[in-house]
Amino acid sequence: MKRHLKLILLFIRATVQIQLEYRSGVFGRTLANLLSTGTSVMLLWAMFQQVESVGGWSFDQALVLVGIVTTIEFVVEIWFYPSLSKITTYVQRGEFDVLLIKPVASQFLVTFRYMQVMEFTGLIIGLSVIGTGMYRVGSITPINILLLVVFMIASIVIIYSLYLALSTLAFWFTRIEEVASMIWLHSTAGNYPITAFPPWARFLFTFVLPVAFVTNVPAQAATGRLTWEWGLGGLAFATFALCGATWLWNLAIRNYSSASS
Amino acid sequence: MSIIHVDHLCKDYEVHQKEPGLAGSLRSFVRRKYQIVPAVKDVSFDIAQGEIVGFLGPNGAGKTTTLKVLSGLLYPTSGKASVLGFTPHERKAEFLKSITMVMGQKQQLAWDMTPGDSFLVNQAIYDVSEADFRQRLGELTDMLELEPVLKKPVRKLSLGERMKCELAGALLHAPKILFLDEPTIGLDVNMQQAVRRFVADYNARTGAAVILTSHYMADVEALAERVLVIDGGQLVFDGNLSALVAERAPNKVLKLQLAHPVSPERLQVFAPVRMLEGLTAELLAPRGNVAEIAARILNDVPVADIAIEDMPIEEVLGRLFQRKPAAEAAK
Amino acid sequence: MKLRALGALLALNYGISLQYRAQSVLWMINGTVPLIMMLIWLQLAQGGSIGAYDSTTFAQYFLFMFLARQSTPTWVIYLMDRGVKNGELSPYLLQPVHPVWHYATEHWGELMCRMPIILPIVAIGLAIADAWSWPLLAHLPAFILGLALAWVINFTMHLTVGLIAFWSDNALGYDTVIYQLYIMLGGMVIPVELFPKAVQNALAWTPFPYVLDFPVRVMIGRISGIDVLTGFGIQLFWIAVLGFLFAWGWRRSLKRYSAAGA
Repeated sequence: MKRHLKLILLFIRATVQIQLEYRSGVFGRTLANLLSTGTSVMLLWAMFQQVESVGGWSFDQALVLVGIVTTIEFVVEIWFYPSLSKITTYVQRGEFDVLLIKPVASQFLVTFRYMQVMEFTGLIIGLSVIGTGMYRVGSITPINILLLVVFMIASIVIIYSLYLALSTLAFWFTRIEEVASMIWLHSTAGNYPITAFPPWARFLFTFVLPVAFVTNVPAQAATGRLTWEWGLGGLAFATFALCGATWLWNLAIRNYSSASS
Repeated sequence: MSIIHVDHLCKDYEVHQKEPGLAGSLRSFVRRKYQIVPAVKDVSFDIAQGEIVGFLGPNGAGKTTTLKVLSGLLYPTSGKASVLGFTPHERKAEFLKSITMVMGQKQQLAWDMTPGDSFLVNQAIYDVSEADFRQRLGELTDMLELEPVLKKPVRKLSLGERMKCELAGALLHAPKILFLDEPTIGLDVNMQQAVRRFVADYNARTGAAVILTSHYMADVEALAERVLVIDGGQLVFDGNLSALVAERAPNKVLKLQLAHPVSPERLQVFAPVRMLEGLTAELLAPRGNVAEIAARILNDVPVADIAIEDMPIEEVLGRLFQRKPAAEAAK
Repeated sequence: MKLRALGALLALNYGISLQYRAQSVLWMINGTVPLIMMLIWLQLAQGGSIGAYDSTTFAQYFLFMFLARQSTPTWVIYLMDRGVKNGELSPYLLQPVHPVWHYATEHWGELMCRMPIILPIVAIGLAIADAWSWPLLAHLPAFILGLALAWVINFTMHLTVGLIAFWSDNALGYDTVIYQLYIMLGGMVIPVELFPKAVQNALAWTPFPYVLDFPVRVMIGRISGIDVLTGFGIQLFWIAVLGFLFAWGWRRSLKRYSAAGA
């Protein structure tokens, strides 16, 4: 455990050094983050100019949703995307063996190798939007914050598992770069309450692309409207997703080692 | 008649500098230091129609940079380059149609399609008439033995097959000048020879000038009568290969096959011993009196066989380049 | 630019795209934002029309928006970024054809692969939502012309922004920036007509509504007569402006490319 923590710190250090080389990138991404969140808030506002509520949610409650999407996008952008999208590259270039011969679990390596912590601006933006929404709803209480943290972690676990599972498909279909980008659908659909969709789409966004668990449940927690069914469901889904993705990963690795010469 | 004229050509690169470590990264993030690195310094030469010229020099000497200036990929920092009467970096269509460049490390054929598909595109891009295209493709297919690979996707070809297709694709528009940048890199020996033979043939047949850089001395030895040696961005030699050896290698190599073992001291008397292993020995004899030394050895030492050779070209160059840093440090 | 070279490049790129059909499908999934938004707006419109839009208008708007978005995507910033970073641009520069044509035909080739999948989706969508009426067919020629001009605006805009690749290590970040502007200003999430009046007026000064919203509104008949012609005029204006900007920047950027060592 201690060795792994040390490794993570080393990895982050190395990645920060690389990132500092590309300094204009940080600026571009911050601008993109600001714009993307600004866009979502503005669009939400424009939508609420036309209607009173969307799927039973008020503007302020939906604002929390936007903040959560921003925060999760941030995590994907600085962590999952840079790390896990490399899997495809490794497999395509046949460089995966290099990872397998290292004396550390391969899943650990691909997960933590490239965390680009330099770009913390997305986090600040996301948290401020969540804070603003909660303040306007009047739901800032210790218990709500605690619940928010718990369900945000569950969200991140779900996204991680999805991302890992999709990237793992690269072992079977080598030309699959864009698969992982499906994740970004969350940033569109996730900005709206699940109840804003027709019933059949709600099912889709709950179990197939789990927008409901990833964005709606933490938002409900933050605004003090979480029901125990959704809460338990979210935690169960996260556990299930993590186990599934890890299983798929191990299967792929076994497959890879036996197939390659 | 000169088709390439280079006059006091200089090319600088801007490179940003970084100290090692996290602190260094941070410092360079805040205030980035740029350094001007001269890659080519005051180089002048002329190349005539039909010549094959080899660029020699260690890594980073400025060979590829010069090639890129001549092909119009780089703007010169100062000085002049003129190719077929054009200024290369203006990249006029007429100019681009009369040159070609093959880069051993960069492929130009579409990866997922067959070489034939890429050739058709080149035909259209270079505006080659159907008759010319057929005739040239036929010739190139024969010379390079491409028949079996034309219909396979490029990604399925071996490195050697791919390079041959690259060459064919680069020559369909019958360019007057071929720039070859490391054309044999990574190829096996047979394939290297095939490429060399082809280039020599092509040059003889069409009279196109060939300018090549290569790591493999054998490429240059086999192809180029004339070499330009570039080191540290400067042209240090321009002439034919044997002149280079004569000028830069004052010694010849005396190769001895001994009848029975002899101590190094006994050979040392005649000339410095370069190598002595069992019954083979190599001595370095000054060019002027190599014959005399050989005669003395034959008299004194039990020799089964003797040969007088030039220093291998690699070694001549190796010494030439090695001396450089020392001289630089002395300044 | 010789037509023959254009044809050959297009044929080549169509061939390449055909081999990556799977990739095209994924791209499309990624471009479903208008469809997701349609679901929400249809749900919202159940209580009666919103602004001037009822459920039929929403369905039409977003289905044609989907078509418009799928006809105009561009990854040219990515191509330019890669070209500069790996030197893949160099072989293109050695050819007597502007690299822009390589990029453009790559997009067209991919478009030819994509359309046979997109068009049925739009048709099925229109059928399910019961939003098709035959008189709309009369708007088709204007819609297609508008889309073609929109494609050029979008492509030239990305080309121009892509020039950043020559000057900075990370041009891809700006690709996201433009994408955000599209979502916000092009009508992909909210029909431009449903924005507050002041916002609409401000938008009219930017090229964004002319890439997506304008052709779509022409198609569903919410712009007609002389306004259509004015719209085309403004599209041409943006093409001229962006084209000029690009040509100007390209020359400077190439110099820079070579300064850094091609």
